[in-house]
Amino acid sequence: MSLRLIALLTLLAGGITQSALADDYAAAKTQDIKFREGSFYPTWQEERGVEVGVDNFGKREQRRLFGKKVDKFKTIDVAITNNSPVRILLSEFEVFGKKGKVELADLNAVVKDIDPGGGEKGNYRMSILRNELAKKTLKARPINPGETIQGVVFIPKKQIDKNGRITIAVQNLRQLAYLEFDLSFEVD
Amino acid sequence: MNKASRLFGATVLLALVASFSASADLKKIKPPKDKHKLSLSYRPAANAALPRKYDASLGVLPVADLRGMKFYGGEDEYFEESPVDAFSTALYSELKFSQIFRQVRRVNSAVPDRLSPASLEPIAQSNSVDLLLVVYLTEFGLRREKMEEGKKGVDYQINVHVSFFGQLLHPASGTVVWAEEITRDFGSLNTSGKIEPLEYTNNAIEAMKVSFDDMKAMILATGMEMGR
Repeated sequence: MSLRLIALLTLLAGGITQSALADDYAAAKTQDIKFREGSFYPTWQEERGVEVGVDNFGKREQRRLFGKKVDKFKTIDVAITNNSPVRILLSEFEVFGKKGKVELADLNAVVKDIDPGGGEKGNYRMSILRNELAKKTLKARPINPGETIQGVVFIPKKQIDKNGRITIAVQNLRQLAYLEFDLSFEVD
Repeated sequence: MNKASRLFGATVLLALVASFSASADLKKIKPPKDKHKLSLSYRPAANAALPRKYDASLGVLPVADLRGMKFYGGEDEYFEESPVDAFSTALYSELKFSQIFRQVRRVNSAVPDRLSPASLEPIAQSNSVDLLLVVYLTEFGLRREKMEEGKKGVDYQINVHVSFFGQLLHPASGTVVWAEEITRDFGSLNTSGKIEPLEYTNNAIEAMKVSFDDMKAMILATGMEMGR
């Protein structure tokens, strides 16, 4: 094979990789966490009609939802289903790893880790990535009767081994009272 | 040089230019120097007094910062003051100007980890208020959105996104009088290519204003009626 042909094939392969990545970021805008109620997760708990489920969130899913997989984080996905007759609020969650409570990083650290690149395409991908991270991560929000919310949690790899724990506090939005959940999980 | 070689050379050159362009550093929006920072402080409109809904005094607690991302690029240092503090001040002044409550006071106690009559009543009593407003700020940040992948030039939407969850509480009974999530964006098209503090500061102020307008309208519409 001539040197000229090898160079041409290399350039073509580079171009295909670039456009494939761009497609992945754009496609991520259309993708959501696969819908499952809390009790459909491998690890779940139920209390007074509120179900909380947790599962490992693999590399393939990271790429599908955010355009590219992360390197410095392990990820879980959490679902809370409200089968009670009152509105509730996911008010707090904490993750515990090998050295106790995990300090969850600012999501900008996830943006840096994923690194959507530079130039015009990089700017475009960065826009998508920031929006998708804001939309698809777990955060305090109300849950109506019958509703399920889901969200991804990014856990710095240095602070967790294969096993972890998550505690979740859910507040009653009619009369001040809380339900507390404590679930163990395994991550890749 | 034959035609095929010239064509090949041109292709390689184009590919190298494209590759260089894609790997160039992303243009960052860095926090400005102190002398260029603008303030998020504003005076709420006083000419749109709303009907009084609660003949009660309200204490507004400082906003609890539950944001997953700081204002932009992992930093908050884009304004004269912290965006969370500015948000807290604006929340208080908007409610005070609104006339929805008989009296509005600023409370300096932090939001307790668990809201309960036991944790809230001492705060209400020491500040002589009947109701407390607790707000969890979940998003307050800049989202620069590029409208088209390959196009250069005037195609950046500069959005400031605000999202928070507010609860109006009656500490003595532990009743949640009103609770709602409010989410708003305020954006503008960037026409200069360079993003100035004026642009995102103005959008941040407008985003706060529209979200507080929503909050006041929702309190009036869905807040629980209380006996007088």
